[in-house]
Amino acid sequence: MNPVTLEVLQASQIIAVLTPIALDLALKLKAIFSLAGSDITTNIKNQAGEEVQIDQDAIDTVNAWLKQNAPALRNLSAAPAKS
Amino acid sequence: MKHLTLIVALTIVICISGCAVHRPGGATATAPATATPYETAMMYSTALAQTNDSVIHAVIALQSLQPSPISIADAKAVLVVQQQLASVHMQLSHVLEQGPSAATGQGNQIKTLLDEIKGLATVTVNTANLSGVKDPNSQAQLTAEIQSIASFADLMVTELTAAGVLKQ
Repeated sequence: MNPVTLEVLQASQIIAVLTPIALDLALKLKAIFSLAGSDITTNIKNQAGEEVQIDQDAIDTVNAWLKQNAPALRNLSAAPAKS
Repeated sequence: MKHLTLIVALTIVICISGCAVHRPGGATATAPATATPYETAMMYSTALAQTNDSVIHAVIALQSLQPSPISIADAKAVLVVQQQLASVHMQLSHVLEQGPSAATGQGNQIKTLLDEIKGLATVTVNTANLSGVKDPNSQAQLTAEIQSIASFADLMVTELTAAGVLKQ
């Protein structure tokens, strides 16, 4: 494939990967801060519970990625270090 | 008689609409309550967790592209630090969920955990791993998101100090 076409293709792939994540974050933040109008006092425990779930997802996601890429990562550590 | 009926009907309509507009408590019932500093700190805490989770998913998504703009070694280095950050933040959430009164007695622990979170975010931004992202836009976006984690931690310190949980 033409190198220029390849670069354009990769750039569009990167935009496709990052844009939904940024949009998702913005929507989540909006949802969080819209809570300011309601009775948050009773929701502190629920909110902390939600945070724990998000953190657990983060931990599990990295563990799954490390497991999935274990062979490549093993090869990496076995390869001699570049000077 | 016809006119009298019309006047009575109009009076009833005006009364009903007037009562609806001036319904006692109607305005206060829908007026937004102001969040306390502790509640605001909780919102920043949730935003921090979500930003970190988003960074992790973004790094994995970028690494899976062909050709990938980030090497597997750099991705691993970033992901391991962000995973550690999630673990520290989880400890913080368990302390904060106890509410302002209980958290006040654990101010030192909260401050230590927030400093640790800021330190981990700074590690990722300052080390060479993030600069290994070959696409400048992705690199800038990831850097900004990780810096916002440190900013959320700072905002939490401000709000928790205002709430009296942390000492000035």
